[in-house]
Amino acid sequence: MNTKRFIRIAMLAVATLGLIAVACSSDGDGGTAAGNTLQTVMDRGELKCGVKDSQPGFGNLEPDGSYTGFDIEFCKAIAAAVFGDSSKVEFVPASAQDRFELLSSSEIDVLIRTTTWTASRDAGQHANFGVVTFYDGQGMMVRKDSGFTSLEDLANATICVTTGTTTEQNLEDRMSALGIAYTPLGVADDAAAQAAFLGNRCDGWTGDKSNLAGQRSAIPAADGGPDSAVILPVTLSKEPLAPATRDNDSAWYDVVNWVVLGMITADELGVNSSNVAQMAANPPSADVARLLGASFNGGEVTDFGLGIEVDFMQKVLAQVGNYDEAYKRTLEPIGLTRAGSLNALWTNGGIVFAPPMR
Amino acid sequence: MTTQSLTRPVARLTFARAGRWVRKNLFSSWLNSLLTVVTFAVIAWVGFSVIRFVLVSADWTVVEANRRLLFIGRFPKAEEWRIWPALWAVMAVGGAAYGRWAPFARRDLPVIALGLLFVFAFFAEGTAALLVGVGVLLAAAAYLGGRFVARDERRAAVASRLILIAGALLLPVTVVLFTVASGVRTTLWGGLLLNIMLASIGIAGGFALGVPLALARASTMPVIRVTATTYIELVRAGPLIAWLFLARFVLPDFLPPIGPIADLHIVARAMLVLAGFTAAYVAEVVRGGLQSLPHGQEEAAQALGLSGFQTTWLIVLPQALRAVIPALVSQFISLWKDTTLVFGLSLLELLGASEAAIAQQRFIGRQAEVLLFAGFVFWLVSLTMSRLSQRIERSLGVGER
Repeated sequence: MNTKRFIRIAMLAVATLGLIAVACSSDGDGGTAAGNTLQTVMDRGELKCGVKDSQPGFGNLEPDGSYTGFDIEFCKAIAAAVFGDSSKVEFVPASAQDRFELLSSSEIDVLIRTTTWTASRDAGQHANFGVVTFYDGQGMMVRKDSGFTSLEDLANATICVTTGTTTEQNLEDRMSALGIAYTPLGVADDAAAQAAFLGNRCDGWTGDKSNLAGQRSAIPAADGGPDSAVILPVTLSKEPLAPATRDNDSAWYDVVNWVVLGMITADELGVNSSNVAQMAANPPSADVARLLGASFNGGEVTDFGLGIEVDFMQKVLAQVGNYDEAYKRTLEPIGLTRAGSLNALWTNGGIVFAPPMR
Repeated sequence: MTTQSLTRPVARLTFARAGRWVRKNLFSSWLNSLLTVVTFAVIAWVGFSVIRFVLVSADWTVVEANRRLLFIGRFPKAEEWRIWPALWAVMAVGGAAYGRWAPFARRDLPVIALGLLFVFAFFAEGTAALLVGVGVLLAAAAYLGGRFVARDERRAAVASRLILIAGALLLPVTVVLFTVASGVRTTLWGGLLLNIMLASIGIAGGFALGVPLALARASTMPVIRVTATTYIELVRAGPLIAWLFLARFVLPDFLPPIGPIADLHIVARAMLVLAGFTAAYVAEVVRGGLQSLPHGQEEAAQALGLSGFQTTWLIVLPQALRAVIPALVSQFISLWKDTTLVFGLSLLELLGASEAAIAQQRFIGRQAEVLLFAGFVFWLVSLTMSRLSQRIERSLGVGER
């Protein structure tokens, strides 16, 4: 009898505590977080960038504890733009499971972590995706000595594909649309695929291009090394990777976007880390002057109104470099050739394009 | 049996006996012979492949290059000096305790040899070798000191107290050493160091919380008993990974919005969860120990005029805890391996650091080496813990009642 009453009292107490906690949390930090990340970041003096630490070429943790990779370059570029110092970044490792939680709980300011921009993520995860930094997609790897250059060449060939993934479905869709007959060889994982591919049990190996590139660079020298395989330029599915900020945070969103776009514009205009100082001192065109926040022929300096220094791109370019430099430094070493891919500039046949900076 | 007595006839006898044993146990029928041959073939093949991989085909440069990452993660280089005194203190206290209570036994040899081999393999050069060398010397000196004081009963009693106090201070001192004077944020703790810190705090906190919980559950006062029982049953109802994720994503919403508490970092939250989770299991293990005590013990203590606290502290707990050492240690070994679960919270513990090392461009495809290394480290620590528990059991005379 006694015990029962105590249980009832205890339950009541727990329920009351729970209610108080919920009430506290709702009027707690909820409102302060969103809104003006730019100001928060400037006050803090450091950028918190959510990244991946185990994706070859995109986000790597090096033996000395530093980070490298294509995504990392953009984190550094944003820090250079906001603080004039690309080293003022705290890299926060984000896993596939917790990346959006990290963003919405303000533990990171921006998420740059090989994250595909999709409708459900944009709308449902309180994330706001910016400019695409890398157009990834499902690709096809073949042996160099096969001489294959397109999907059509793979008629009646055997293709290695990981079973139970969207990759398998994409391959089927694409090949049947093209009317090409092929034999799929289902494999459980990358290791099995590599064994089959190197053992000549399949002629092609399909998967995300960024992953294929890593696998390609891992081909042992005994099997011919990375140069014995090529990744075809063809793309079977769309995986645009973009940085994400929180919803309703447009000043910060604009800064993140225009740093990336500035790097693309610099690539277009031929401004890079080695000539930026000279170009800023003596801009060859009005476009370059506007990009660098420099005066052209004694005219006025253009301020885009981003809320950061007008010459932010000078610092970005001097300390990090333009889009092409970032790409060449991180992605070409793992075999992701830029020329001829979607990630070439629009003037070179790709789709990397920046709205005018003026 | 000494070497001198091993004369020829004895040797022949031994061989003959061995032959008989083999015939009787391994080849008694054609089925057994077949099983023996097949089993030995499989063992030999697996053993051969592993040894060949470790010595011939493996390329250990990935582990060598990432030594720092695997051991301490992103702990800043400029702050590394904070680790050495902590390591020395641990080694000195460990050595002294070993000398004082459980002087060298031949069965400890494999663990000690493996440990030393490990240390010398990874800290063979540079200042690190020197600093680790200091630690090894300290441990050896403390061991000899421990053996020396053990000879005299009065000195031994003083030494025991000192060693216990030092041991209890190790963890708080280490945490302070790491964080004091604009020290290292817990976010930057990583690698094996993070596993060790998480496990130590989980074990210390779990034990400190679990024993009172067990006593509370055995209490005659309903409020206390029901609260303890509710806590234990609630915590045990969920998997550890679920509690960790709750601490990751839900706990911040429930913390009072007061500076340091609201900002409690994820590492601290993980430590809280590990301690709270372990406490529930420890409480149940200890409760088993409490129940194994005959009532006569408590009654005798009361008859002697001991207070309730004295009865618990001097009579009940020492006997109850002694009885459950194996179960406790097994709980702690399990916690040690569970520390890898924080990998899911993007923390760079040993397994997370291994993943990062595998993904480095020049080491792609070297996962076997890195994972084998990580597994070996976990095994070595678990082995040490289990060996330690056996020594404690023996010196406390468990099972000899």
